[in-house]
Amino acid sequence: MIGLLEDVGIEAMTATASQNRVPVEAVLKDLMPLKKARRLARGTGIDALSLAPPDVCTSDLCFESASRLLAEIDRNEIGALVFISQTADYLSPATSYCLQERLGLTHDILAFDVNLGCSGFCYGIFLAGTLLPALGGRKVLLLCGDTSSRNASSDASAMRSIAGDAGSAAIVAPQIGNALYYHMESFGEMADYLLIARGGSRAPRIADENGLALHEGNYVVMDGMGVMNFTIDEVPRNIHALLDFARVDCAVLDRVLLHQANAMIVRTLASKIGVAEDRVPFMSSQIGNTSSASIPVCLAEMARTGQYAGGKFLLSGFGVGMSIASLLMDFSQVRVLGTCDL
Amino acid sequence: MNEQDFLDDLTDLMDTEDNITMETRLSDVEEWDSLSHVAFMALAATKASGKIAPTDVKGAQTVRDLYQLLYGVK
Repeated sequence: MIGLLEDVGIEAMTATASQNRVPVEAVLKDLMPLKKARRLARGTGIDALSLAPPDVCTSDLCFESASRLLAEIDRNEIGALVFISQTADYLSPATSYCLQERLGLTHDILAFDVNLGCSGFCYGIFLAGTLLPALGGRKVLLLCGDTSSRNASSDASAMRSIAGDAGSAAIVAPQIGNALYYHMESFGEMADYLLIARGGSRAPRIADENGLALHEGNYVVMDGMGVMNFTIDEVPRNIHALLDFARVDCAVLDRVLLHQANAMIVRTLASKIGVAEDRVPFMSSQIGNTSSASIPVCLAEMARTGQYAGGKFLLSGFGVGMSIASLLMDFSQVRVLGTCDL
Repeated sequence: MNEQDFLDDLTDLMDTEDNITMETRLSDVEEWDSLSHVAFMALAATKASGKIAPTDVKGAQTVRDLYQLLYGVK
C-alpha cells in the first residue's frame, strides 16, 4: 500500500537502552570458541548488547523515554497511546493500558497495542498519522520496543549474537504542510522466517521443573538465509517505488535510516538502494538489534553523539511478518533527545 | 572479475587465515558456515550477474562453484 498522509509531524522522540551492556564474546562464550565469536561480531558489526535485567520489561524502557518527552508538554495533549511490541507485559490486558496509568494520561484517550517487530516504528508513525484527524488536535504518544534478547534461545547463536533490548517514545502531532509518504507491504507466505511457534493459541509453551524449557518452539527460530534473501530482494524495490511515487531522487536524501538488523544488511542495502554509506548510519554496535526500537535508537544515538541534524529522511523497517514499512518525511522540525540508559 | 580478486573477496568475507584457491573444497574451510553463507548472499546482492538462491549457496562444493554462481562463468 503506497500513499501520502498530509500535515503530520514528529514533535519529539527518544530511546532508552539498558545500562547493562554485555560484550557479544561473553554472550556466546558457552556456544563457540572465542575466535568464532569475534568473527561473528566482526561480521554483524555488533560488539555488545543492551540486555535488560529480568525485572525490566519493554514497557519500562518505553516508560523512561515517554517520561522524558512528557516532561516538556501538558500530558492532556495526548489523545492516543499506541504500544508496538512483541514483548508485551502480559497476554492481557494490552500493555498500553498499564502505561496509560503509569504515565498519568487521562481516561479520554485511545489506547491499544500492535504486535509488530522490525517494521513497528514506521508502522507506528503511519498509524499515528492516520489517527490525528480523529483526535481533535490532540497528539499521539507512540511507544515502540522489544526485549528481543528474551526471545532468543540460549543455544541459538545467530539470534543471541544480535538481539538487544530497548524502548522508545515519539510524540506525533499535526504539522501543517509536512507530508508523510509511506509504502507498506506484507508477505505472509514467509511468516515462518521468524517464528515463535509456542505461547499463542496454536500451541502452549513447554515448561519443565526449571521454568521455560529449552524447546525451540518456545523461542524465535530464524531462517537466516531466507531473511537475508527476502531483505535484499524486496526492500530496495519497496524503497525505489516509494521514491518514484513521491517524485524524489535518492540523491536529495540527507539520511536513510534502515532497521538496524546488523551492519552487513545495512551496508548491502545502502549499496542496492544507491545511497553512499555515509548517509546510511549504523549506530547499534553497542546495543544490538532492538526490533521496533532500532530506528529510534539509531536517531537517539546520533543525537547523543552530536551527529543528528534534521533533513529529508527515508526510513525503512523490515522483518518479522514478513513486513516492510518505508516512510519519506522531512525531519527538520523533529527534536531528537539522546539515548538514556535504564 | 579476475579470479585473484574473487579469492581476496572470499578470504575477507570468510575472515579466514586459510590460503584458499579456486579448487579448495568448502567443506575443508572451517569458516564456511552459516555466517559466511549469509555474507555470500550479501556479496552476491551487489556483484552477481544473476539471481542466486540460498540452496545454490549451500549446494556449492568448491570455491570455483561460488565464483561461477557469482559471475555466471562456466
